[in-house]
Amino acid sequence: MSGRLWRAVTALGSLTVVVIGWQLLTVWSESYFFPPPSKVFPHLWSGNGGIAEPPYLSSSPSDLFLGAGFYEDLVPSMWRMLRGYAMAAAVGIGVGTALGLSRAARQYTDWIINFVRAIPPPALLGIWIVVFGLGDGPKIYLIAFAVVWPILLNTIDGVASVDEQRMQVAAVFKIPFRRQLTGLYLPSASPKIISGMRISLGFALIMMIISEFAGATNGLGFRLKEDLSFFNFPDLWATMILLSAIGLLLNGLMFWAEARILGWHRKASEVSNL
Amino acid sequence: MNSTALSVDSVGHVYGQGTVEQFHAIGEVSFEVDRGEVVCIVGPSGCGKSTLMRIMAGLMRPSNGMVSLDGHPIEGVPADLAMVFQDYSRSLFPWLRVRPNVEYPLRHLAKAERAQRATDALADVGLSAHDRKYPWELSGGMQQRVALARALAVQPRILLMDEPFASVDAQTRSDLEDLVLEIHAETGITIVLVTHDIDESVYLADKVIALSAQPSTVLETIEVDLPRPRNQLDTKESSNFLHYRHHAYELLHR
Amino acid sequence: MNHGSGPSASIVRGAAGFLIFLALAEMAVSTGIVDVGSIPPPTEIAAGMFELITSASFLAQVWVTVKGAAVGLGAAIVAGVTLGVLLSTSALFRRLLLPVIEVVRPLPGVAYAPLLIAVFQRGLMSRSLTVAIACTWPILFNTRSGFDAVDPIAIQTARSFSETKFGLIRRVSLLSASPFIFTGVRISASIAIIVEIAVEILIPDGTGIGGFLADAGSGGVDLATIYGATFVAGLLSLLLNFGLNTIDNRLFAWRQGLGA
Repeated sequence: MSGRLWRAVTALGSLTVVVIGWQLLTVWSESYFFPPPSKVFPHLWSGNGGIAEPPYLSSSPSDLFLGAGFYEDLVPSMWRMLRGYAMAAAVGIGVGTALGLSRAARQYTDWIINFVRAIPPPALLGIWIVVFGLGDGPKIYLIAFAVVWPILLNTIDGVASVDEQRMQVAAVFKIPFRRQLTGLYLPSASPKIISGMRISLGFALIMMIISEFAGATNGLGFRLKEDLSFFNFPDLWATMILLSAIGLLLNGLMFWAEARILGWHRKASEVSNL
Repeated sequence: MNSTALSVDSVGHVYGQGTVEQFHAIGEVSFEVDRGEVVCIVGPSGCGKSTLMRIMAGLMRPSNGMVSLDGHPIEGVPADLAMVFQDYSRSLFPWLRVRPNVEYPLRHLAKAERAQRATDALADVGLSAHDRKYPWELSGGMQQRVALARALAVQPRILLMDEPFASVDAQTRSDLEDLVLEIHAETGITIVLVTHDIDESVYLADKVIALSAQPSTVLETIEVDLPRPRNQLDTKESSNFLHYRHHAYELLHR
Repeated sequence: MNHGSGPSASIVRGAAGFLIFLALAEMAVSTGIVDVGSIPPPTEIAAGMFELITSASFLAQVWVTVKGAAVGLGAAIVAGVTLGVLLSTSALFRRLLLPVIEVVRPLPGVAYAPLLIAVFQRGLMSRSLTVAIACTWPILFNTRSGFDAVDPIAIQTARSFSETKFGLIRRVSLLSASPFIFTGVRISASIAIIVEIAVEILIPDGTGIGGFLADAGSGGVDLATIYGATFVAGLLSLLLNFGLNTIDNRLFAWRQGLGA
């Protein structure tokens, strides 16, 4: 416990040092592109009127300290990311399980998967705006297309490498297929599936930003682009800080989920070793 | 001839000194190795033999006492010392082929000299034909021969071997034992070999140092007076051999 | 074993599956099951691809993308390996740098693009710098885990032959870690192309595959050509993967000797 406390204290300390160093450097350099944090942080809740985009936070408790930017940009971004991610998880686990169960299916789809997977997702943005329009659709599909691969491939791998002896046990006891699926294949594959989902979550944040680089009218990626067009650097930095915080949050979430899953995994392997 | 090469003087070692998990590996060990001698250190597993070997090699500092080579206290690895580890698969570098593995310690030499020494050393261990292979493409016994060749290429004055034959099968093991005897007869190099095999220690050694379980101390130093050259059949069937073996066995299983 | 095993069967089935997929797509699109307006038939896309690959002006844009990604990846290799080695071998650097890295890393590399474009203008510098930032992390972390995985026996062996501290890093740890580092490079290579194209799309000026696509999307270029350009980008990254795989298998065949 004290080790954890100490780590938190040193982390907080180094964070403070970084911010102070950043402040001193930017004040000293007087660069237009690198505004000091004393100017950047207030942008998170006050903006500076005029060309500034709506701030993400608010100083008023009656707004729950949330500003217009929170509802107009952050929530739509996160909502699109979540939907794209959920779509990728559903398709990845569903298709991955089907392919994992049949070697012939894996072989027949091998080239297709490798070919489609090689397409750099941002290259699809242009077409999909033309095809699906400027709404949420192309952005969600783009995120889903980009992040489905780690989930799909890990699911295939996990389901295909289920222990043969366990499969024979299931066959000997004439367990119906549905129960084999929920009681054998998916649980055995779950550590790999979760690890694929973990990789994909980090990637989803990146793709969320990219998907808003073109054909968007709101969202955090859109804000980065707008701030560049209007040379609004304090706001640009504020958005970058917000994105860092989201990234940190997602990292923590992944860490937490993996620790839980690994705990389950460890217990399970202990039992099977008895 | 009979001057002291290596002297181990009241060496003791405690791992994690001062902590709750501290482990007293070596109590107090003293012995001397004369120049040109083969000395085997034998003891039960976990008796701190490998720790002692790493201290002798200068890879570790002992908690107490000191080791000196040719009268100079050892601080860091001495230049004219070479070592063969038990785990050849981890001690040979998998990214280098056999010949570069053998040449690895010879970097300070000119290229021609390096090549010559590697050629000689590989010939000594009977691996001339395999010098372009990767170590992991060879059998365990052959890999350990490469490790031996690498140590010999340094032309060390003292060769330390840490359970060198513990990871190979019985047949290969006796072949390698004979190879070590052959090399010793040819070069007269000083050899210190750690083993848990009593037969092996008596068969190879001029002097067997029997260690107790941890924290280890010297139970007895047995002078082995068996004629050289030795061989697997005559030596191991002689009554003297059986006598030494019997004595060492009793010491270690008391 | 049962039928369908062996490498030749998997190649035959892979190719067959791919062709069947293309044929079905062709049929679906040309019979009108799928709206022709949104997806052109594969034959038209293939024709579009061929036209693009033989057009010098498009190849010039491909070269822009390749150059931006390659320069960025190269810089990331230098930065990632250097930082990884420093962090693995020096407690001082760990103390100084790790907290900074923890703060900086959660921000996705593409988010630096607007700032870098503002500072360096559009062009190779801003694009490859963004690529470099995004690609440094996988290389850095793989270098670290490669150093963590160096066998202590290998290090003791080197030390028993009086290896110097610097030599230990250069001739033992770095070599032992090199398959890990290369894995990081392979991961980063895919990221490099993705980030490069994303930055080209951010403020499109017609350069690079991303710029070409952004222009095409807004101005009357037919869909078959746009899809064609997209698949050329896919082909590019397929080729890159294949090349890196080949290098990996050749250069690091000794990997199987690690940790046996």
